[in-house]
Amino acid sequence: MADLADVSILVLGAGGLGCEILKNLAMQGIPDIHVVDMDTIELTNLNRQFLFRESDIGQSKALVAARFINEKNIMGLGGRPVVVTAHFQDLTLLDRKFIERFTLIVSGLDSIEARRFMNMQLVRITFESRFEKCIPFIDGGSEGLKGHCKTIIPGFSACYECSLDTLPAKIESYPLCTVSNNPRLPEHVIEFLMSVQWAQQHPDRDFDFDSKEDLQWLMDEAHARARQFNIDTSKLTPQFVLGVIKNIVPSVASTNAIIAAQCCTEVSKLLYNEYDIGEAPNFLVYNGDDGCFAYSFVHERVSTCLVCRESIQ
Amino acid sequence: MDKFDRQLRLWGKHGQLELSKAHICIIGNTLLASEILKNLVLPGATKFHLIKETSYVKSDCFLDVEDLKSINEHAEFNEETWNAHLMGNQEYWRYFDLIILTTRDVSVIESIRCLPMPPMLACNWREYHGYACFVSQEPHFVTECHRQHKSPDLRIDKPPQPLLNFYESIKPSQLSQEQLNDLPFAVIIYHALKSLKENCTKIDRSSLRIEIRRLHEKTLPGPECLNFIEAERYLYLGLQDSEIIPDNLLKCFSLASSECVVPFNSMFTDMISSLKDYLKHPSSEHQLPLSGLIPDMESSSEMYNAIQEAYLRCASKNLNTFADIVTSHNASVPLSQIKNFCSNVQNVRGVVPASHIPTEQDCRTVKQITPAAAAILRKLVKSKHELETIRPSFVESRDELRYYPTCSLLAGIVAQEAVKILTHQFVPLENTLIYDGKAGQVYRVKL
Ligand SMILES: [Zn+2]
Repeated sequence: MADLADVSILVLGAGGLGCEILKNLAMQGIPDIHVVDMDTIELTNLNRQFLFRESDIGQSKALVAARFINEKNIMGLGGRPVVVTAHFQDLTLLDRKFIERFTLIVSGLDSIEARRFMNMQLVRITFESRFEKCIPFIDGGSEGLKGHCKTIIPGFSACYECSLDTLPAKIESYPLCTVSNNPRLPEHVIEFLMSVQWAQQHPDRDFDFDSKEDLQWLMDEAHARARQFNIDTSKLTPQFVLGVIKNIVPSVASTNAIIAAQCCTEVSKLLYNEYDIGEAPNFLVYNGDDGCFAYSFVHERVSTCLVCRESIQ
Repeated sequence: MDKFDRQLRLWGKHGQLELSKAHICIIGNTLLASEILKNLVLPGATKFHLIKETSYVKSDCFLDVEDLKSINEHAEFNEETWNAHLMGNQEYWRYFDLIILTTRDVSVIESIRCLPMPPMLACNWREYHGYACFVSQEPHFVTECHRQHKSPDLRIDKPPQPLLNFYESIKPSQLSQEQLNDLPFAVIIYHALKSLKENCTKIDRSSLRIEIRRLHEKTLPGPECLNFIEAERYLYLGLQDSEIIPDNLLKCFSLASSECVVPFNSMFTDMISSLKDYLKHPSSEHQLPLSGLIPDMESSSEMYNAIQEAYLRCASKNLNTFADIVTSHNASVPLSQIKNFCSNVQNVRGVVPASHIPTEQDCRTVKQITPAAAAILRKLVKSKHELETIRPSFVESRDELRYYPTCSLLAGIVAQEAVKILTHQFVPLENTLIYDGKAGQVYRVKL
């Protein structure tokens, strides 16, 4: 790896994992850190995203996170101060030249598509440079008390695409016959309203998740329909309904701390030449639901992977 | 929306309340302590007692107490300096719900090692290595373990009387093809079992499947019937014995014989002894109280409502009987706790924590089972405070900086275990975890 004082790292996402990753990298003394995130701060972020306060609600996560760390005046490697640069934008619009300047990329995103985009860019960089340039990509993910950390050495070890089949299957949707004719659960009621009744009543526009009126319509109709089918309405609170329609996953500070730290340990091992490509486990899963369980293993490259299969080159 | 919405989805308002009123004592003015504190202030713990060693000054941490106050203005931080005379007495500790031991000051650890203390999480780290240990003088009980793949509690093999009445009220032989398509799978399995019993056929997986298919054929030709497909998928529920007490509960029975000081644990042990009486009560029919929760079953809304009501009625009858027994044992157990216990009784858990803070002696025991873990533990048990002493500047100690994530990871684990212990939700660590960041391994050992 390059001289430690010249290291620069790009962090994808300034959410629950992102805040932890940024803090760790700063404490590890990484002098040049960039963060990209297009989200703004919301109230429900504050149970874990410790770089933000209530007065920051509505502002850019990337900008506020960078400001918070920069104000700490942390001294980094090589006597250079730690500086975080914010990019308040969609990361899939970052150009190749920009990505190429980083030593490493660490991701704390919740979007699979954004990770696939970055993975593809990085594999191409390795191939097009004929293996001269290789930017390791470390990917963290968390949900509730569970999480994972993947270390990808593009072109050398399993890429993000190679491991996509390890993702949990999408939540099954309910059969249309059940939701329209035989609803039994509050979830069935909501599914019917969102997939059938909204379009019938509002053929001209989509449901707006941020509109108070639309949410009120949903609450009112949900209660009416639940009563019609004698379904218990006590579960139909705004929190529950929003959880179902937005597919909100639980998230806590502790899991984010664990996963982000594992990602940053991988950063240290890569920077200090303590990482054994091909030998080191590149996939760690964590589960704190029952005891404290972590398991790591070597995920092999998939020879038919459409992204990192070399014959494409 | 609530600031805590994302975690209330995990442990609910009652869990949040337990967390917000818990008295947590953190020993050691360490980097690890500062990270743990952050991870506990964020989810809403508010009552902290922080004990600082006099022996050394630590290096700069990322967030100080002022930063933490800005995260939650209701949080209180009581700071005190180590006082061997005062704190070497068990009286000093008894009001804390949880102690978190992060200090590397050997004299501090030695002063409290032999005291009977409230539940404690002991932890330490160095370079890529760390350990966390759940220490307690009593077992730890969990009512809500939030198991993801719970087996439905339907009692199809021996429905208690109120459920039996419901199942018998349906006569599949008199139903039309359309009505058969509306039968929930539990009803199908019950009647398949019944006809096997009437014909004196041996009941096993294949005979039950044949019987379900025989009933299914009556609906053919016709559209695909999801309820019969579900009946085959869940036929194992018909082969269970509802009088069998699950192993996790048997473990609780044996652990509940010890005296408990933690209020939740003592309430739990009262409920366990009440449960033994309940099982002797005639109306229990030798079965555990019914949870009343049933899975979704393919059927009409009316049919599903009917079966759900039958289960809820039976569960509430069981609950009343059980509550009477609990109250006669201990009148102070709140009904909400009894109710919670009843709905989770199949999945309650008991955990045996370590009896003491890890010593070098323990390393020898661990070595016989997991040598790699023992080597790490030995290093950490002996590890003094060289890492935490004051740094003239970051530059000079830059080699150490790379290990910061280990501290952060361990703080995440300790905070998560702390929340599990304080809320008695989710099963905590039993009883020691050893982390090797270099190899990417986590070992779990019992001291
Ligand atoms: Zn691939």
